[in-house]
Amino acid sequence: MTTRNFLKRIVLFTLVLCLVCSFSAVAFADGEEDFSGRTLTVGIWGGNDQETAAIETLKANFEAAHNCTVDLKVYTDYNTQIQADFIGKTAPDVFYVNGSVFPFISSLGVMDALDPEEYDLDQFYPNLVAAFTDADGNVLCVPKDVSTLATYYNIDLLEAAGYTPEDIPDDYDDYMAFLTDLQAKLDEVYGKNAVAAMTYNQDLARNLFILQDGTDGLIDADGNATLTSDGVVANMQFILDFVDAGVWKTPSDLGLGWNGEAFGTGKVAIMEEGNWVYGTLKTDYSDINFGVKAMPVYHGTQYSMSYTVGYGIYTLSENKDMASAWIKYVTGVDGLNIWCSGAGCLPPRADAAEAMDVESDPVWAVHSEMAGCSIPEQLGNNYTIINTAYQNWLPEAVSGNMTAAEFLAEAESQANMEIANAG
Amino acid sequence: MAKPTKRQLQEWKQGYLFITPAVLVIGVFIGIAALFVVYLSFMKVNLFTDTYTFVKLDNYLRLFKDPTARKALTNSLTFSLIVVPSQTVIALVVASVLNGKIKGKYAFRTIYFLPTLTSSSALTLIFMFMFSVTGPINMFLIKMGILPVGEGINFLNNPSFALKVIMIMNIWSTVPQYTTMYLASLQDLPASLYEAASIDGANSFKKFMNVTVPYLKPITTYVLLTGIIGTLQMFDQAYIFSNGSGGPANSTLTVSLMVYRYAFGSNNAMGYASTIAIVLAVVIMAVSFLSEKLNASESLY
Repeated sequence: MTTRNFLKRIVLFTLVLCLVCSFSAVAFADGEEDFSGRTLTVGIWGGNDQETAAIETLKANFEAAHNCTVDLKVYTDYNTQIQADFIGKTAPDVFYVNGSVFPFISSLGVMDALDPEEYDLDQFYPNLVAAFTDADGNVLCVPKDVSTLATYYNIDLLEAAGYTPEDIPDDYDDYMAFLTDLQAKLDEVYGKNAVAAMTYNQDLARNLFILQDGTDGLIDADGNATLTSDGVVANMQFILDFVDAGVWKTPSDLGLGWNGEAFGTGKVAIMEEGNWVYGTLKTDYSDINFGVKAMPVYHGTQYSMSYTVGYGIYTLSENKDMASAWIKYVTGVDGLNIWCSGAGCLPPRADAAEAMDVESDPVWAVHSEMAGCSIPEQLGNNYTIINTAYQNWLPEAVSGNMTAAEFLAEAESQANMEIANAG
Repeated sequence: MAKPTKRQLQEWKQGYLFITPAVLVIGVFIGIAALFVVYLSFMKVNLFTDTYTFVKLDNYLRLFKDPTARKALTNSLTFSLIVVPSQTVIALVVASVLNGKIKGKYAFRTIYFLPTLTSSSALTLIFMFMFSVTGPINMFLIKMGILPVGEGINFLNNPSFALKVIMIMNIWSTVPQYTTMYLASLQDLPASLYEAASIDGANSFKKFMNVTVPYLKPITTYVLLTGIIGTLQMFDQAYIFSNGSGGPANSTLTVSLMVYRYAFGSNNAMGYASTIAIVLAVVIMAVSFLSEKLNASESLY
């Protein structure tokens, strides 16, 4: 080998080395860890097309940044299947946890405690972080989004009945008189029972904030249901009065599946619904002329309900470093921007909400405002049991076969019996 | 008994060899699983932490004091009591009509078989639509003047109607399957029997009662047994109908639905769920045994 040839080779080698180095510098420029050849499993439940597109974008970005594979495990019946996975010790590395079942899942000891600083938890809305904090004060999940209830009204229906949106009261106490008049006018214009003044839902997820107002809560320290206190009965009666007066109807009373459908088909003038309905109204029922305002005040307090979902890391995961990186990415400002604007939900942290500019859209602005005063859909470990008992017996109170007190006593006794049996 | 010949021994060996795979598969996936359920029913189980505590007969004692369990059992038994006789009688009548000399019977056979091909969840959703407040059934009742305008019955949310809607749905969807079984057997019924009955002066009804029904008895036994087991284990329709709650007011809570709720809800009570499952199995066995005895005693020929 000649010296010249040798020099040539050295130069070539150096060039190649530089090239390789610069490529890897591009790929891992901002200190992203390299997980090449590894696979992260993320447990989610299926959503609509927009949600699927958003999570696929997150997946692709994460795979590109970390040179790894993300396997989305989509549950069709989340509650049953993930429990089976926990029992079989085959749960995904990182998975969705619904706020309402968080207390139960956290009690199973299947999630690692998370370091609040590592995940920037001080940037998140405190009531959402609290929703994912267990009894010992450990945060086990990072919230990934939040949805809240707001008041939706059909402007055309209101105007046909001789009202303007400003006439809708800001206080539940003024609702009875307003809705009674509105229902009478709607009956006049459209025929009896053709259009309902307002819908409601027979579900603790919707009724919780009214029921708990001014009481010691709907559960005791042991997680048993306490539905029979005078305060709860009075709050229940408040709901039933609207139903008895015929101004609150369920979507099923109208022969429809859910509020969005009833509102979208012009069968109801006012509904309280979560922000997920916003996308539906825009795409499926674009001819509906509607507005959105804050939830009414109940007994002097501004309430709403919030529905939040977080990410937890599986205790037995062998890819905890990857799971942690995933959570940091998807709950960071950039990730949330992709997810929330795609899926149609609110970011769980103020800086991301600002970056997304939620205030520029009047509907999002109202839902975002509600995030601060909302109470989470949670009722200890036994939320599902208590809600099932509640939904089971509420029709009896609505039909007049039971009084509010009798219904709540029946629901409480069934719930507590089941809790004791599960023991 | 005489000593078995070499040939007999050979045959036995072969026989056992052939049934071994089936016995193994059934033993592992059904036998052991069933025994494990019996074991679980005496335990307080936490599958997540793998802890099993022996609680003696606690689960059973609790079950007999549980008013919800009583309600579930009553629902299941009522359901069975109404659905099984209806589906058997209707299937028998439809089969004998379709076996007769009528025009277009093949078209009818095809059409009648369609419900069986529909998945039970899709069927439930269709029925929920039909029986909803603004659905076809209510519209019909209002048009006929039976119900006042704008006051349709909310069949789905009314405890006195909910289970009945599921009964109608179940009868409607199971009849074709049993009709097919009856039809298959009727094809082999010798025409000479009917001819002999005609010569004796029997009319169509008498021929049906005295020739068709007795001839189909073995099939009837099978239909009754599968019907009883199927109805007592009914789960999917009640689950979809009530969104898993068994409501309104526990009117659609079946025993299977209750087992599911304890085993897979946020109850974490596999032990209690197993206890309910065992009791359900015992009830099914008892009812099936009874029906077989009753059916056999009505020997007409």
